[in-house]
Order: sequence, then C-alpha cells, then structure tokens
Amino acid sequence: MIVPAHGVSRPDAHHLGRVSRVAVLVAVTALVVGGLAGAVEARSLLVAGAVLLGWSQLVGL
Amino acid sequence: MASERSRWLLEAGLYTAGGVAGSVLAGAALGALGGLLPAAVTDHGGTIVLAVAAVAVAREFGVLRFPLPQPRRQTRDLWSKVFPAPVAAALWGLDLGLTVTTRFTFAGTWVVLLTPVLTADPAVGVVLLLAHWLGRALPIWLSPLLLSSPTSTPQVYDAIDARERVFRSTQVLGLAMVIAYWFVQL
Repeated sequence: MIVPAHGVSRPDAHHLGRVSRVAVLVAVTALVVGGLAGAVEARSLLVAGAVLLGWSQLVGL
Repeated sequence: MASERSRWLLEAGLYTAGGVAGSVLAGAALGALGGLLPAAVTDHGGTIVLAVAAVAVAREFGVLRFPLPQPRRQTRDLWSKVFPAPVAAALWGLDLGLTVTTRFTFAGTWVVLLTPVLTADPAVGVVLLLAHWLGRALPIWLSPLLLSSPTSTPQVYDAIDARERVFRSTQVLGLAMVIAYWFVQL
C-alpha cells in the first residue's frame, strides 16, 4: 500500500539513512571513477544531481 | 500473498507513471514559460542558476537562513478514501511529479524548477524533472526492503527529522553536481 507522507517508523528511518549514505557513496564513487576514466559527460552531472535532489526530498513514502 | 504483491506492484507502477506524466508536463511547461522571458535573462540563465544553486547550498549549510518560498500544500490523503487505491496512487504520483504543487523539503527543488525556465528549454525541463522524479520515486520501490511492515507507524516527520542531516547532505551533493555542470558549461 502506498501511503504518502506517513508510514515510516524510527527503525525504518535508520534503514533509510543507511540507504541514503550508500546512495551518496555510490554517486561519488561513480563520478570519481567515471571522471578519471573520462566517461562522465558534463550533462550526466546535471542529471545525477537532479536524481539526488529528488531522492533527498523524501516525500512519497 | 501473490494478489497483495500484484496489488502493490500495480499501485507502485501507477504512482510512478503518474509522476512521470506530472514531471513531463511540468518540465515542458517550465521550459515553455522560459520562452516568454527576455533574451537578456535567458542569455545569462546558467549564471543565474549557478547563483541560485550557491544560495541553496548556503541555506542547507545554515550559512544563510531564510524561509523557503514554496507551496504550503501536501498531496491529499483524502484521495485514498474518495477513489479506488490504484486511482489514488496515480493521482499522488501526478501531484508529486508536478513538483510545483506540493511543499519542498530542501532548497534544491528551486534549482530543478528554475533551470528549464532560465534556459527556456522544455527538453531540459522534461529531463531534469524526470530525473528528479526518478530519485523521488525510488524510495517507494525500495520500501519493501526498508519497511518492517506495510502498516509501520505513521511517523514520517519524526523519521525525516531523525535522519535529516544525511538527507540534507545528499541534497548538497546534488547541488554540487549541478554547480559543477554549470561551471563546465559557462
């Protein structure tokens, strides 16, 4: 059941925090590795940034 | 059990699809709105976005303190009582995907909304708002892994408060990526 704006208990928040840390780690690692390999286009930064901005809004759970 | 899973998949899918529709609509409209701005503004759109992103970072770091201009509205729980659950899920997605109709948590949303306006580019708007929605919808798809039960205590505000620093840091990282993009472009 999707219930926007409620439905997360404190222990779940701990999990969410952990996932967010993992997301940050993955994003930074991908950018560093991709940047070093010359694989990251500037446009990817904008799109990846928008994904992180959306993720961190945390509305919708 | 299987029917519960199917129902969840249907509702999560409709929620996500609703958000995709809302994001496409809002992104295209914001880009088109930018077309009404004088060229003198859109010619410097990147610089203005960069400045707004810098202000947003300063706000999230607590260097600048000001109330975030934003809608005071949240999406309507009432829809789950008025409409069948799949319809309500699609409406919630549409509403949140529009982005401009519900309150923001952090300042970075302004950067997402202003970029298509100041570049006067509907395609940029669609891509950016879709990417933003992708990030926003992701917790729904991860929720089966994260929630102890579908009826976990409704304490989302406490939950966000409890881990706000982590999510604020994620927001700043997103803004840093946007800033890096504009530095490369300008």
